[in-house]
Amino acid sequence: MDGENSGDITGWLEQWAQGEPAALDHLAPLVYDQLRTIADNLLRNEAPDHTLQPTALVSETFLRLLDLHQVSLNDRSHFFAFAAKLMRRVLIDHARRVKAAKRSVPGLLPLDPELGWTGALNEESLDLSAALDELETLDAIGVRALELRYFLGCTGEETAALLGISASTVDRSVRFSLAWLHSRLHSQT
Amino acid sequence: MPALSKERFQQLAAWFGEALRIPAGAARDDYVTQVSGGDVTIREDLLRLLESDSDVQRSASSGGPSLLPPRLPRFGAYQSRELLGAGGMGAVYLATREDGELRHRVAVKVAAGVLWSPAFDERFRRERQILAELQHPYIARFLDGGLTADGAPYLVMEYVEGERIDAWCDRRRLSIRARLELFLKVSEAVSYAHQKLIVHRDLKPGNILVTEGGEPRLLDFGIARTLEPSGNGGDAQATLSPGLFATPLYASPEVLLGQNPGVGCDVYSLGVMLYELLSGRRPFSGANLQPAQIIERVLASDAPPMSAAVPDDPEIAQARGVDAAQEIRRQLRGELDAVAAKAIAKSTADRYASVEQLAEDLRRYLSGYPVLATSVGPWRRAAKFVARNRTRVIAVALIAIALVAGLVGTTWQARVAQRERIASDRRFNEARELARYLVFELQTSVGDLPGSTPVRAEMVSRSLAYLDRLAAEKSNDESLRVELGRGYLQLADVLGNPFHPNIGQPARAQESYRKAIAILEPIAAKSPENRDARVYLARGKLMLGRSIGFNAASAEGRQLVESATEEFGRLAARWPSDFTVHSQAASAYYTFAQSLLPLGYVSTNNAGPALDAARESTVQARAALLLKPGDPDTVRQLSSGYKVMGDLTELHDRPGATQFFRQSLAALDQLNESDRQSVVALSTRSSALLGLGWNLGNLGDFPASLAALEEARQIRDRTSEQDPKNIQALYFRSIPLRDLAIVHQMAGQNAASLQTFLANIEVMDRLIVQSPSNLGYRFSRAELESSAANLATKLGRMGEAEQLASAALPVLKQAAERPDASAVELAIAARHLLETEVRRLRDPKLALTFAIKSSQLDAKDSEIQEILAEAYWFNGDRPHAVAAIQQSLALIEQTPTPTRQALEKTFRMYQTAKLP
Repeated sequence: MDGENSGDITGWLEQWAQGEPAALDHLAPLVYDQLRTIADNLLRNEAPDHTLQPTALVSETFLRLLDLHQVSLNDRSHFFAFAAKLMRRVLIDHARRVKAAKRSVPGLLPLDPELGWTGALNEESLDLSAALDELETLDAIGVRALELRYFLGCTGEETAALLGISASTVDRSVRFSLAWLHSRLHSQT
Repeated sequence: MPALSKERFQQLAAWFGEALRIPAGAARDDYVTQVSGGDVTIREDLLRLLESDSDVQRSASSGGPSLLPPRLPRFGAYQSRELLGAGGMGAVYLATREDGELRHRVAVKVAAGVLWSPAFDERFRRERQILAELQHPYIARFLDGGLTADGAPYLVMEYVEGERIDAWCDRRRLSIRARLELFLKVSEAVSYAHQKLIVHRDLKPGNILVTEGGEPRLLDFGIARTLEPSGNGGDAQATLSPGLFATPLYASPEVLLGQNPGVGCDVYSLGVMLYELLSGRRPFSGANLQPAQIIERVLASDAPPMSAAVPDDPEIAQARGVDAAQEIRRQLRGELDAVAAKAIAKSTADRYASVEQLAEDLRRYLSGYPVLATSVGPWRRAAKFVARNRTRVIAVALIAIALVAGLVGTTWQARVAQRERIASDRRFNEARELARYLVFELQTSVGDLPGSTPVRAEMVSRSLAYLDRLAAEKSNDESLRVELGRGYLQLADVLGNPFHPNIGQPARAQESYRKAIAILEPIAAKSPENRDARVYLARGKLMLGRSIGFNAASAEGRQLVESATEEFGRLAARWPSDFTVHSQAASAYYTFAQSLLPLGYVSTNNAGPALDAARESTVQARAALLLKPGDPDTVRQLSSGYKVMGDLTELHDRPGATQFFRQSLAALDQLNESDRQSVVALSTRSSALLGLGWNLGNLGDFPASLAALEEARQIRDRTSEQDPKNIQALYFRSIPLRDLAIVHQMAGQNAASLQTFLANIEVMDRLIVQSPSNLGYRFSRAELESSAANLATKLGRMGEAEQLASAALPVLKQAAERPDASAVELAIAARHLLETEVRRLRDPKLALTFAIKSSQLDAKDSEIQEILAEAYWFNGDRPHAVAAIQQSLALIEQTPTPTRQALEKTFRMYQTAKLP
């Protein structure tokens, strides 16, 4: 990250928050590597005794961004929402790689057919991503709440604070979104 | 669910939120119906969302949902890197161990949840030891195991890079021969594990990988057993969740039924894989079958021959190196079909006994020798399987009967029309076969199942009706008539054979036995070489005699038994290597021995002939067991023979008698576990325990005696509770209670004794409710009450004693005053009138009248003479008392038994003591 882009971050974050998809492509390079590291650590759990809190790590990333660049503190919530979305992309990419690896080594233990979509990340995570995209067209806030809750591990209160809505609204929205995703994913198979 | 508009989505979200406030159920459904306003799509969408919600919430409570990747846990020295698979039973991780520069890759299988218990801990340790010893080039090595911090057990296995065996074979287009060769390697590994006493239990293509070099690697050996919550042996969980660890696609019927699987289940799974690897289809396949449907098929239907299963799919043919399905079918037809069929036989008895035998047959095939497997007739196969799956079978039995009805109906119509005689005969034979099957095989197989008695009676009598009609149609068919006779025997057994579970209709049973005899007698007379006719006839006479009984009033019962026993003696000499004849002869001699024993108060003067007959019974039973080791019925017969020998020995030689009872118990150890738990075997065991317990008690070994009697009591309580309508089982509960009460009393445990008497009175009450016209139960109840009253007096519970005795004595008196009162009833009534501790109810005068009458009816019973002496004594008649006691002494063995010593003491007392 160098200083040249610094002035743009706030602007891009704002644009992204207002629903400009292209903003993601401008912002991603700035933090993708950090988020990728967070995700990888999460997936590998390299240090089992030290619990990695993605939320804390994202905070750290944001603070570094704040130091280095002209990012306003008000952008924090935008940034978190953005980071959650990016995290989702990182994790889905990971699943895609796992899937690709599986194809080349067909002898690996098959996934248990009883495994629901909610278990580990797996091939079905790709369907999950598509379903999330579809959900986004119907309820953008709901997806954001979901991403914060489940991809960044934010609590209900943190999610509510970041999205500027009440905690009960987050709970209701998340519960409905999960039910919708579940029935969407099951109706496809 | 289909795509929605944004508005609809928001509307659904709002209703969804409202609906969640209403508890799930009718009220919530009403709400949904109401808001949907008749729009079916809305209603369905909303219901589906709510259903999804409950799924999500359920998985949330069991650890999910999480869109985050799972934590990759550490297992001892191994750090997991990737989740390879997960499911209800646990998860599999790829893990590594850092060892200097080297990075070992391993697979870690961890069980879901905590299974820890001290017993599990111990077993887990033992199993790991066994797994560690499993070292074979074709088996993925076991490396380590332990418990996670959460207490979940895990196993570390060699990580195998390879391809599933089926995919590997297809991709390389292996010919049938090459597939067989690879399969033999797999068999070698399984066989090796079996020698180490490890059964896989979940063999499937997914567990067999083939390496680049073409070597198979078997995964997960012993995993199922090791990661199970608890060991085998009556574990409810294991029985309730059949196939907990196994996929139903490859699991054998016994695994699906939750029975203890042995090596046979691996033979079966290998058989399914062989079938699939060769034909391209699994034996019980079908598009989109649910697991339950697969289980249904595996249990209830026979697989088509492997060659017939090959689909017309050029891909499958090409994957086997040939062009057309026809070519594969040709190769599989015949010998390989037979091998596969034998490997996947439903019953382990029809299956290859070991993987080695299966492999041997395949090697024979590959070297051009004929295989040893031959096809088994479908009826035989199904019958054998049925024998092991009794519960299910009862459920389908009545359906099968309906089928017979249909077949017979068709036959008749065909005959009436006088057309297509050949087709009609074929159907006739089918109907006959089915009826036979229902009457004999099915009947035998459900015979010992608790609670099944009424169902069996229904089954047999309905099937018999069809046989009857068939026999009427072909009245000169000798073999059919023999079968019919046999059918009536079976029906009679269920109706009222007192030595089998029965529905308590002895009159109808006797009628049925007589019908069997009437059918069989002319055939046996006409064709002395017709073994079946003679055997069934003799058996019919035996059973009828047994059913009529051996009381003094009627000689018919004893005569029938004697004539049957003589006939069996002849049959055993004529057909010396015939198991059935020896086995039935054992039963006949046994019954004959019983017929020589007067019931009730046993006098041992005629023990000699009875003892000889009982000994001959054990000789015949052992001869039968040489021909068919471990046969359950014969083992029980042998056990009963020893038991009767014990009964006949006990009065003059108690230590000798306990030896016979112990032999009786030991004989039952020849049974396998499930036969040992059958109702009849348990009943035999409880009888031997009673004999043992009673004699140990009389020898003064109270702890051992009470332990044996208590076990007998528990067996009989359980048996009766499982089959509440079985009057006999209920009656049999009272006997250990009686003995327990007496031994408790001998041991000075009066309170325990009284309690047992009261429990016995309750049993009698239930018997009286079920069989109100049976005066015997009322008499027994009164006898028990009077004994209980005496105990209550000793314990100082006077009110209770008064109450019990004043209820009991009038009943005893009334019974003894009946003109047809038996000697035993008179003697018992007399004894209680003399001895009751509620003194105001004593009546020595009436007691003397009863005792005199009793001794007139049976002058040869030592105990009756003793009671007579007592009655004279209490009436102040010393000379008669002394004379009677002398008579009593003359009637028992001259050896100084405790009974004799007691009588001699009484004798001296009556000579010298002051009159009361």
